[in-house]
Parts: sequence; C-alpha cells; structure tokens
Amino acid sequence: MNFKKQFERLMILSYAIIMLFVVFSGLISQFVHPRMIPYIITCGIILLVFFVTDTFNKKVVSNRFVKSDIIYILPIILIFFVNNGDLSAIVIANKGINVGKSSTENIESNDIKKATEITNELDKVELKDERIKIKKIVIDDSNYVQTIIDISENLDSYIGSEISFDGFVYRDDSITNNNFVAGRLTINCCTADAQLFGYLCKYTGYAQLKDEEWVNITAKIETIIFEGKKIPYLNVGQVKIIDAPKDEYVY
Amino acid sequence: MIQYIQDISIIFISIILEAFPFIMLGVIISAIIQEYVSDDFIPKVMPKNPILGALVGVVMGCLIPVCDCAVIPVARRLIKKGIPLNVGVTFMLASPIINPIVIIATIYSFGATIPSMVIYRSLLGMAIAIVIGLIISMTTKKNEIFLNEKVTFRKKHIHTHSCSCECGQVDNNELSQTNKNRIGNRLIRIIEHSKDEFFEITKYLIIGCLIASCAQVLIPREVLISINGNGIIPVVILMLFAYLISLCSTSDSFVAKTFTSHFSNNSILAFLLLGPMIDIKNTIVLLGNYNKKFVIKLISLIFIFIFIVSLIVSI
Repeated sequence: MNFKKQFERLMILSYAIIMLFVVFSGLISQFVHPRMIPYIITCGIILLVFFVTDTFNKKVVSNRFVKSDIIYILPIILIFFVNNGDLSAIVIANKGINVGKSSTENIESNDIKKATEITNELDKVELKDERIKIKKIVIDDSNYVQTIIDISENLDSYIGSEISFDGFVYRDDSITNNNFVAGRLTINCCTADAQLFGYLCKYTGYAQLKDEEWVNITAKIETIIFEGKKIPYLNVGQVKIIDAPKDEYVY
Repeated sequence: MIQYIQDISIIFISIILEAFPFIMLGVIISAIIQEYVSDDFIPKVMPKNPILGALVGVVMGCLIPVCDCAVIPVARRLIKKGIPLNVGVTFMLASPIINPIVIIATIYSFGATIPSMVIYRSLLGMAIAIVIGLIISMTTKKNEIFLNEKVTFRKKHIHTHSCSCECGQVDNNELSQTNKNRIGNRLIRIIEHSKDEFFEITKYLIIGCLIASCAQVLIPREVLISINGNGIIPVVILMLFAYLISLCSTSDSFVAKTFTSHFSNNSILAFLLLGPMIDIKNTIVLLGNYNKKFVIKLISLIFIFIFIVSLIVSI
C-alpha cells in the first residue's frame, strides 16, 4: 500500500471524526443551522463507511502523493483555530446589520403569521387586564427574528410598547450619540450568511457598556428616521449584564 | 490578527461542513449513474435537436435537485456518460437556480416585496443557461474540455476499460456477467467510485472555501455600501461580490435581501443570477476537473450574459 493511499485513508477518517465530533460536542451550533445536523451526521457515517471499505480493499492505486495534497490537512488545522469563539465584531460589520429597515425580512411567510398570532395573543391577554395599558413584549430564542420583523412591519401599532430581550452590544462609527445596536446573529444556512438582527437603542448609560457584551434590555419602543426609513428605536430603561447564552445564534 | 484567523476559520469550517454533505450527495448520484446507466442509454434517449436537448437539461435541473456544490460531479459524470455538451452545461448552470428549494428560498426573501425578482431569477437563469450551453457546444469539442488527456470516451471504452473515470477501478469486463451485476458488488463499486470522487473534489473545495472565507472576512461592507444607486457600477460590484463570497444558492437570496435598501434591483438580480452559476469555490473545483480554456470561456460567458441581461431588464 503506497503512501498516497494511506494518506487518503487517514484524511477520510479525520474528516469523519471531525464531522461527528462537531455534532456530538454541540460545537455545531457555531457553524451551521441545526437543520443541517442530520445531513452532517449522515455524511460523517458515509465517510466512515468509505474508510472501512478502503481498509478491506486490496486494489493497487497508481496515484502518487503530490506536494499539493498537503492542502487536505488544512481543515484539520483550522478547526483548532476556532477555539470556541463566535464571530467577532469585525465580521459582523462586514456582514451587514439589520435594524428593521426593510419591511419583510429573511423569514418564511407562515412564520411571520405565527409571530403575529403570538403577539396578538399577547395583546389580547394583556388588554383583558385593563389596568395594564402598556403592552409588554418578551422576546426569547424561539421568536426572536419573527418578533423583530413583526414589529418593524407594524411599527405604528407597537409604539409605546415595552419590550424585553437578550442581545449583545454592537457599535461602529456610524452609530453615535448615546446609541448602540443590541441584537443577535441569525443564521439561515451557515455562518457564511450570518447577519446581525437587532434594534437601534438609546441609553444614557451607554458609555459603561462594553462592545460585544451580552445584555438583557428592557425598553420602550419609539421610532426614528434612519437613512431615510422609519425604524424602531428603543428608549432603554434598564440594562442587565448577562452571561452569553449557550447558543449565541438564532436561527 | 489572531481574531482574523479565528473568524476565517469559523467561516471556512462552516462552509466545509455545509458543502460536504452536498458534495457527498453529488458524488453518490454520480457513482449511481456510472453504475446503473449503461453507456448506450443516454445517446439513445437524448433528442438530437440541441434546443430540445437544452430543455432536457433544464428539466433534469428541476428533477435532480442538487445545489451548486453537488452539481459539478453529477454534470461531469453525465457528460462523460455521453450527454451532449450543451445539455451538460445547461444542466450544470440551471440546476442550482431552478431547483425547487432555491425557488422557495427566493420566494421567502422577495415574494412579498419584489415578486418579479423570483420570476426573473428563475426564467433568466434558465435562458442564460440554455444560451451558454449552446454557445459552448458550438465552439468547443467535447473531448477537449477535460483536464486529463488520458480520459477515453465511450467508444474506446468498450474495449479498453469500462469505467469512464480515470479512477483505476477494477475492469468490469474481466468479471463474469453474473458477478458484475450482483447487488453487493455494485454497492462496493458505488462506494469506491464515490470515495475516489469525493476525495478528488475535496482538494479543490478546500482551496475554494479558503479563498471564499478570506473574502468574507476581509472585504469590508462599507466599501459595498458606499456604492449607491443605479447604473453599471453596482451591477459589476455585486457580481464580483457574489463570485467571491461563494454562498450556497439556497441561502444567497436571504443575504441579497439585505442589499435592497442600498442597491438597485438590477444589481440584486445580477447577484442572484451569478452566485449559483459560478463562484470562486466552484471555479477552483472546475479547474480541478476541466481544462483551463474551457473554464475561462464558461466563466466569461456567464459574466457577460448576466451583466447584459441585468442591465436590460427593468424591475
């Protein structure tokens, strides 16, 4: 058995181990949308099958190892550089920020409907209680994007409502004057298409906040004209510093 | 610096993890075609008329729902199995745009705001794929496109070795007929074919993904956003951007959606048409399979046609 063949087997085994390890260690959520998990497991298992079949295969291979074959090792090296971190602010800026500018965002239409239903139910519940005039919206992982879209679509009906959600602090040169963006990264497919979804916030104590720090925000919804479009603008009442969630992305 | 390496690594591993299952699907379909479609079958059923052939390519694109990663091994196998070059090229270019998953994703992103985008993307994608397929087949001989000169074609195969890839598989003719068709043997051959092709493609995929992830981290969005308005420049910029960032064709419409406030609809159409047809990742993979002249011709045609079409259409 020649070196090329040994190398090929070793690489296929390593790829299989990486794919399965990434899934079962939970690291996968850093990379791709959870719906990819079954495909990645299947692919890992097929790679194992390749490895096993190859072990019993006595056929002679004429291919020789060439220098450029070293490139196969790259994914195995780079996975060590991932180092449990998430994408940094530099990349976030390059990927574009979404502060509820366009009317319908990245979302399936029935999800929008669902979100509307959820919030409508919320409204009904709270409107029943006449003493509470202010609508309160609590956003969590499962309704994050939907609610943001719903609010930016029906902005007028949400003005004055109270909103509470977790997100991280994001600032860049275009965001000034006590303002910052609080939001989360959303993934449609893999981190290559990650985008920041969040709100422009106004907070007097904003100087104490650190970039990329995770916070829980309670705020009142107002509006502002930003780059020619009316967008939600949160007047932040309370900021609580929290630990980064286990799963930093929303899907 | 270390932050850049980490970001590039995250995006690189993401694209690899996402692409591997689809490449796997592609090479398995390719191996099944190799094993089960006989060398005489395709010329027998394929229409002689190139236009009809091109339509067959489009229909295959709908029926074999593979994205832009998986389509390359499948198209290569089909061309080697004897489908006309124009049909193969049309299939390769159209499939990532008109497969149902991509159309649904585009409807989700643009259906409510710019519905015509969905129609233009699908129809123009199809039309461009057909035209480029015809031009390529008129100007190129089929046996000139592959990288490996040793590749022998169908007719020679019958008495050389019956495997149309250069993978050094067991010569089928030496096996007895019964042995050859035993399901177990077929399965093993499918596995071996898939493995060889997977490993071969992986090398180019890795290089392509590396360039794409660097592009994603290192090209600042401000540069993009500073180019506002209509005309030629935004179209060119978004085409180059689509080419460099190498998004999967199922998710590029979600990213394109974020451009709507800054870019003309024409430039977004260009972005949506170009990304699935060609990007830097697939260029590298193509260069690993086809000769340079063919790849350059293909890419130039794609750029030229999408550029012209995106400027003419009014949305």
